[in-house]
Amino acid sequence: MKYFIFIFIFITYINVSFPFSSQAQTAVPSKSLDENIENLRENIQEKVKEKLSEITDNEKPHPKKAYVGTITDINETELKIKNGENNYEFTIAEDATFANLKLAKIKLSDLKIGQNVLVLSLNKDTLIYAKRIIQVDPEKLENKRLTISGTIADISTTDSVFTFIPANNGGKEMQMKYSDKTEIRSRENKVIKFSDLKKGQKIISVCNQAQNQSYSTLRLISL
Amino acid sequence: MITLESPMIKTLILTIIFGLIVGLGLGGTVFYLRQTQKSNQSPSTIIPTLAPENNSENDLKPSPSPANTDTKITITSHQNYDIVTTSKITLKGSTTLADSVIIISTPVNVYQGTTDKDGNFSQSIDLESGYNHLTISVINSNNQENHINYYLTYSTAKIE
Repeated sequence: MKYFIFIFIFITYINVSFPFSSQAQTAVPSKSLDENIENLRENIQEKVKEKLSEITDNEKPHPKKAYVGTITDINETELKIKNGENNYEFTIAEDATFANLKLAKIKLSDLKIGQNVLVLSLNKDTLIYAKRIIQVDPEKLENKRLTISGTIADISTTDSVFTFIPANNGGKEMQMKYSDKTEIRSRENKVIKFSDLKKGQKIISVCNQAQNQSYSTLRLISL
Repeated sequence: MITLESPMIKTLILTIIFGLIVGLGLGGTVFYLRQTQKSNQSPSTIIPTLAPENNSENDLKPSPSPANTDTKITITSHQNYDIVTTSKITLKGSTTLADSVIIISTPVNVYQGTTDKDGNFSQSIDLESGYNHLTISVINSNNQENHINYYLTYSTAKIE
């Protein structure tokens, strides 16, 4: 009887363990699954590397920069300029060139403290070299245009003037002039007419700074 | 002598057949259960899915928050104070204000474009020779706006 029970258990065990042994034999798909996962991991790592290099490249300062400022110190080898709160220091390159307001060549000795200059520089070997120093008039370099969003409060029926309430100026009205040269565009940058603009309409005005309390508009954009 | 008809052999054959039936039954059941479990697990293991982009309907609509909320403009194509060697450049960047108007004012021209639903923009502009003070403004119809100054110098002088 014991013998029969042993045979029964043995045959049952062989049959039960058969599916597991058949799984072990078909280990190839799981191997290809591992390969897929490995490939996927490598692809993700490559993408992450690419993105990281893009970010770091963008954050790395470009070597060629130009700065405007007032000379605060200058000698044969060094130049210091100041623009607002920013101070810049340069090593004057041996092959540096110098120019006056009319872009005529001048000498280093023509540059004095207090003069306004544009410095074209090159960052190389941890030093910032001044390669080209040009005298400038900072007033002429400043972009004095304003871009303001707001609402048309009123439109004159007699003059090319309208009253404008900026969205972010405490409701203080501004008087704006327009002319044939004023470009009037839709939000999608399509040409429209001034007559398309109505009282109460939201617009963006790109204008020059006020002269005689009136701003001359360069472009009006319907929102 | 043991023959096929002897009771011992009969019992042995019956035991083998019974063992086969029980074993195959149990083995088959276990195999089926394991296969079912594996097929349920496999999709999440083999195909990792990326998290969806932030493009829900709420994000596509302009935020109803009041004007002067903090917005940001980032220029990705150039860095501030860069020297460029061509007069025509494409200024690319992004802003936190999606679906808005972007206005780039150079010393001579005004350029207008729009940002896409993700706040990205790309605008081709012409620079004047020398130092260019650009003002870049982003404004949407909810009066949310932001403005930045950018300084680019167009020069063909050799700087090496």
